[in-house]
Amino acid sequence: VSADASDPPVVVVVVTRDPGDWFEDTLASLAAQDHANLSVLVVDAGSTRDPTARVAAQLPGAVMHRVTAPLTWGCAANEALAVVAGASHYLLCHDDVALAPDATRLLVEEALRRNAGVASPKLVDWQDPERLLAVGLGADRVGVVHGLIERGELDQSQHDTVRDIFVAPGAATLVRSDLFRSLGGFDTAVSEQGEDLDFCWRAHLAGARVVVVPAARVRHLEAGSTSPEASGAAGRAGTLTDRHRLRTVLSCYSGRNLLWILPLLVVQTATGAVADLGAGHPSRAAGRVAALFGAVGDPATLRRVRGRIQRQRRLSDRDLRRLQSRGDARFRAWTRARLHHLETGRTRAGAPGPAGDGEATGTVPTPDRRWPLLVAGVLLVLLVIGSRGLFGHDLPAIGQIPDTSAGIGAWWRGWWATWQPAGLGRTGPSPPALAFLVVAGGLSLGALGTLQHILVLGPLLVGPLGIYRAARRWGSPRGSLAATVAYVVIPLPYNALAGGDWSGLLAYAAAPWVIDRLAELSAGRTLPSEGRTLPSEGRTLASDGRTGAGAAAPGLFGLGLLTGLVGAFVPSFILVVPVVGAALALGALLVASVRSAARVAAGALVAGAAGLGLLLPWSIGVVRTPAAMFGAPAGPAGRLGFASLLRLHTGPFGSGPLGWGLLVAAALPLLTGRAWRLGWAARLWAVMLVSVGWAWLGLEGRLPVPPVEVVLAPAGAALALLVALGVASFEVDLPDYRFGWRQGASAIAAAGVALSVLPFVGGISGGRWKLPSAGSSQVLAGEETPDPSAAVSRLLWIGAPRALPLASTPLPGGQAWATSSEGPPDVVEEWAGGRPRGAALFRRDIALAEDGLTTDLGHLLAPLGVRYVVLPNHNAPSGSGAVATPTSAPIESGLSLQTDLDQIALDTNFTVYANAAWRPDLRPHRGTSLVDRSAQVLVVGVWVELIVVALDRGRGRRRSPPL
Amino acid sequence: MTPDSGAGPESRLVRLRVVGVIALLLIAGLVLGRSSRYRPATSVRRAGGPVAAPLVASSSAWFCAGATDSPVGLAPGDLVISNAGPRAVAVSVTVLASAGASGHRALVVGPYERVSIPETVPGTAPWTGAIVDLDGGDVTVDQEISGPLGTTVSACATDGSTAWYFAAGATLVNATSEIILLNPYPTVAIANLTFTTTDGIEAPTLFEGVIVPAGHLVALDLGARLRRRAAIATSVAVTSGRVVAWKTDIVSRPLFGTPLIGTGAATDAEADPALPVAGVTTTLGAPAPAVVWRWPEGSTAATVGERYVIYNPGSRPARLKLVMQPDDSSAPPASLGVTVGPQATATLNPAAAGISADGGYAAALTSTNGVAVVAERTVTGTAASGRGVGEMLGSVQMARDWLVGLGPTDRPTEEVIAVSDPGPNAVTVSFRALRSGMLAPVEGTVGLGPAGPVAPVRVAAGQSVAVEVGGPGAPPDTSVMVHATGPVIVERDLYGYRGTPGVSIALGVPLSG
Repeated sequence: VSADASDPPVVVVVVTRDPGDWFEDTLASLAAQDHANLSVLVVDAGSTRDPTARVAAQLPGAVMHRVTAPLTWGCAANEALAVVAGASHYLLCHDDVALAPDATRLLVEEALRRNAGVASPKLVDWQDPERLLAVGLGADRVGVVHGLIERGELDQSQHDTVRDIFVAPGAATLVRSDLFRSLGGFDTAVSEQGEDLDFCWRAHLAGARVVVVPAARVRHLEAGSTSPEASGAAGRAGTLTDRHRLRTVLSCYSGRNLLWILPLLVVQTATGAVADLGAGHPSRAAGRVAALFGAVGDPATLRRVRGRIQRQRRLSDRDLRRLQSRGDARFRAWTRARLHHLETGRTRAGAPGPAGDGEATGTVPTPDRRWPLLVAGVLLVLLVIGSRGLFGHDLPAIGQIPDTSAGIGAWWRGWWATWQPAGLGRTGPSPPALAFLVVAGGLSLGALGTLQHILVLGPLLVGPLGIYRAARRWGSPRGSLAATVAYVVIPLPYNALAGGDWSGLLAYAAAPWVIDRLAELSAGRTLPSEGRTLPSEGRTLASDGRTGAGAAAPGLFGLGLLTGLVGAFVPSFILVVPVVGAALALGALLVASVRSAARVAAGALVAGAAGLGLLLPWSIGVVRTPAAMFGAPAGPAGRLGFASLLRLHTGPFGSGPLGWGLLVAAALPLLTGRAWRLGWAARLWAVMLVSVGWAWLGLEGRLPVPPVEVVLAPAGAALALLVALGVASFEVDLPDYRFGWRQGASAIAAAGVALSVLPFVGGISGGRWKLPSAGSSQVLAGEETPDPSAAVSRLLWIGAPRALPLASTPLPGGQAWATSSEGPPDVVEEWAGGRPRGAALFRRDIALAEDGLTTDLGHLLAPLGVRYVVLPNHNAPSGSGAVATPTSAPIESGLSLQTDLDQIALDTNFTVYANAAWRPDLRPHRGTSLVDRSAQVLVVGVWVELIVVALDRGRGRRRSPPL
Repeated sequence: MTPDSGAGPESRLVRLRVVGVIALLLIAGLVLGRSSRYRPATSVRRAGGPVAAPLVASSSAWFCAGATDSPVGLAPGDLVISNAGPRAVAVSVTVLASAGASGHRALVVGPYERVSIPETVPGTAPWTGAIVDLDGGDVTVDQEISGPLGTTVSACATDGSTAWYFAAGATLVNATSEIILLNPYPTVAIANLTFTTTDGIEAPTLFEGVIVPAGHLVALDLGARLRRRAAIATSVAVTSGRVVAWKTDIVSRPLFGTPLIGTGAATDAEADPALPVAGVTTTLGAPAPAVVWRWPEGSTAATVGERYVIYNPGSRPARLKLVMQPDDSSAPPASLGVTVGPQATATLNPAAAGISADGGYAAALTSTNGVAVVAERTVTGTAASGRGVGEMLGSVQMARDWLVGLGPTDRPTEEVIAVSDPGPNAVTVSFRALRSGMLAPVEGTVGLGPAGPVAPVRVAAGQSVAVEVGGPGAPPDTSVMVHATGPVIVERDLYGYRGTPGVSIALGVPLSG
């Protein structure tokens, strides 16, 4: 290119193989070098198309050296040893670099000035030269290479100091020719990955300095398709990098240092492999192990290489150590990556803002799955630890917890029989829940114990999953995680579990999904997480691109199905959904979003109606009977203060002041949120207040109210979503405020969330969420029951509704009664379908005893087939950790007056009377309604059809291409 | 869930509105919701005495025990059935015997009638009891024991229990104490008895696991294992089933020369003392301790030895205060304080409080530290009129309507109905007698007034009034309905005179209304 005898002769060695369009730029940059004594050697390492013409066009004076067989980059560069003579330095280059005109000169000058054996330029981005790629590289004591700058950093000359480095990146490296020759060039066994580390390490040992010269700028394309070092697959490349790194380490360290470095490598490899396995990367873990074995796989060669390197050693390992990085470069890189992801997340949180907000619109980047997995893993472990005492055996049938001991056959018969056994029994439609249980039992292949655990403990997982999905749509990954944590730590599900309130658990599982669906209807726009363009308000965008009312149909379809499914087990949930919708509408009105309010209110009503329709004909009786819909009211004994309800303190969990923590956090979006964040904070607070208010008024006896945990489940979900909204607000809105009280409020909110976790952690110590260890059915386990086919034998249960393990009918004063047939109740008797036959008789006789108007209750109850009267004063037998649920004193004392009731000392927590006046009644006592049976079979057909449609929709959504 | 640009809550006004409404609702909820905080309810045990079933009741039952039915028995009994209602009631009486066959009798008691039937069985029995089944309410059943040692009247029980307590009792050379357990229920009952005596806490094995078959009674002579105890408090714990527990104390005349309780000779370590006054009492136990006990009418006359015997069956010491309010409203109340240790007894002498020696007084014992106790008032009458022993649990219940079955008229007795108003307001009390199927005025005397029909009486708050019933020309065998305009407590006292022994003090029976 040019020749000036006063300048050191430099030969640029460009290794290429099938270069792309950029090659001309590379060659042109070489042609533009201002170094006076420069030659160019292009080594073609096995291109399929001869690049000679392209080289000649740009660099007519260049020497072209073609090798027909494909060579690795190191081997190709070594060709210079054979081809070039008389050069003082080699500038070894990839074919995807573009050197600044003065780059070679500056490198040479600085190498001479510093007496460096190797000099590396500053590598910048090919497209955006203002962005730095590398300013030299470092390596730790086990050879893990890392950047010395933040990749992508804006070049503001902040790193423009010549300094010693450990590794010169291979894109463009100036090497003194005698050094290159004495080291034998690149180690041909270390090819494709890690040549630069191996060569530089050996250079250091030989006493050569390796420096970076930032004044010399080189653009680097990092064209993976043509770059030899990136030619392999990513996994294979990683394995190769590890393998070559280990080989370099094993060959470069002195024998004495190998005594500690070898065990360290083994431990690091094992640790890394375990971490990879934990993160779901088994192939990566295998690659790590394979790399270690590969590095030591050829001991003879390794020994020979070691001998050669150690003979050239001029520098001790101790001196070399000063050039290496301290600590674990890989761990540092991982930490930095996590921080980077978090930083990215912060940026993303602002992304989903609507166009009307004056905020940036755009798509939501692919979220980092590691944090969710990590948090999910931790929460799962905590839940498993907290539930450890519930595994390995059937759950006790406390309250409404289903007793699966009767088996699928009994469920099927209970559903098919169209016989409602409550009271004196009558024909009528069977609870659809039995049909679902039959299906679930079949799917569980008869493992009913497992099924019971899934049904009862599953909501503890389904609920948080739902809240994560719902909160994810705010666009803040951290917010989603915070909401998930908040929903896990609220005391609601654990109080429900402790009291045997299965309906509360089911509502806890379903509430986030319902709010999610309703909110989607309310918002009238698509999800930012799906990365679609936001349509104007008032139009709903479906996954298939449809807008308007048609687009709302799929959401309503799913919501209706969900309402029907949960309503089969928790009839009052059919009413909860419209109430939540009304609350969201109120919140929308508060922020003057009338159309949104109308949409969500109408949607919720339609969903409730759909739920009712899907449960026909059973739901007709339920709607007509408040007790069947809501259960028996708890009365004065079940009253809870507004503050307790607000903290979701409905049982043994959540009593402490830390329960206010989440509420404090939930206030944050109200104070700092803007635009849609404030709008949604208003809606979710409306859901909370309506739920809590309904529960409070209901417990005060002023409104009919479902079980308190069912009513409060939407409040719990809203609370968790408000926490997520607070995080989103923190990320998006707070930076726009001047420093002041809002920052303090954010800190307090964060502390509130953190503190609210403590009671949950404390609660896991018991291992069973205070669920008693035995069920009420065990109280009568030893009592003789007659042959069901021969006589009617009923148990009359009287007491607090929460203590009765079956559907009950209310009595004044917060008490209730129920009957079970032929012994303790089973799951078939858990749902009422209407007013029990003979209810007036039972109620009259109980009232007589309660008022002290009879001493012959046994004689009065004998014609009703009552053989035992059970008054539970706790929800479980003594010694099982039972919760006190006292029967009212008048009933208790009234029963004690009876001279024909024989009190049986079975358990101190239950007052059990045997009816001395009972005589077997051999009259037939069961019937069948063919009309009801036909109707419920028809409804099952509808369910099957709808489920098929839903599955088809799901599959279609997964197949549909992104918009 | 997505942003909603249409809401446009950008302005400060929107934020103020949202925050204001939510804060307002929160504050309103927290303020209104303060009154109904979480209150874990606890089981309530019945602590009261017998209560008559209401008139509309379809059935009711009464349980009596503690009488004797043998030629040598000192406590022959009658059942007094008083119908305070306007309709006839069918009665089924089953007399149970501690040994031997039981007897059965059916009868009808007309409206506003009183019927007395002997508590006897075919043959003889050391001890008898009765189950009285009625097909209605507003009826009371009393047990009237009238023998050579005197007369005692007490209401029967309406309720069984798994625990019974007696504060007083003695087994001395001339005193026996018998616990009678009646099981009116259709299952066997098993009971354990423990005692707090002058020798400490005792639990003789003879009184452990006492089996009371269904529909039977069992009598336990405390003297069989607890001889020569001047004070015995009894706890009956029923481990299976329920029973009704009675105690009959019989004190015969002390032999000449026997050291008498209350004299210096009785304090000698070698002495075998005796109670100074003969008599018989039958007492229904307390089904539960209580923190407040009330007695409508006490006396500090020199010829009446009155004591309050307190038994603390609990595990914590009880701090107690006895307040006595004289009938004379101008006289100041007097009080006594005492601390009774766990499983211990104490005796209070009202005379020690310096209360006026004339007239009666109403007494109330209150546990100031909430530890429930059992308390009885015992009376030893030494005067020629009213000689005998009496014993009565305090009352834990108040009512507006009471029925009092008076004592026998075949022997000279002085009968007093005392009404106490423990409430904060004055009440007016009226009296009517059941007579010949109708309600009739009660003949008697109020205070120092003239004899004749008893007019309604005003009772001041915290005061009590005594009505002496009967007198010359008064109709025999009656029961009296007492109606007050506010909650009161009614006691009936009976004193023999003209050489007739006997002192009886007992509470009336509240009517459910």
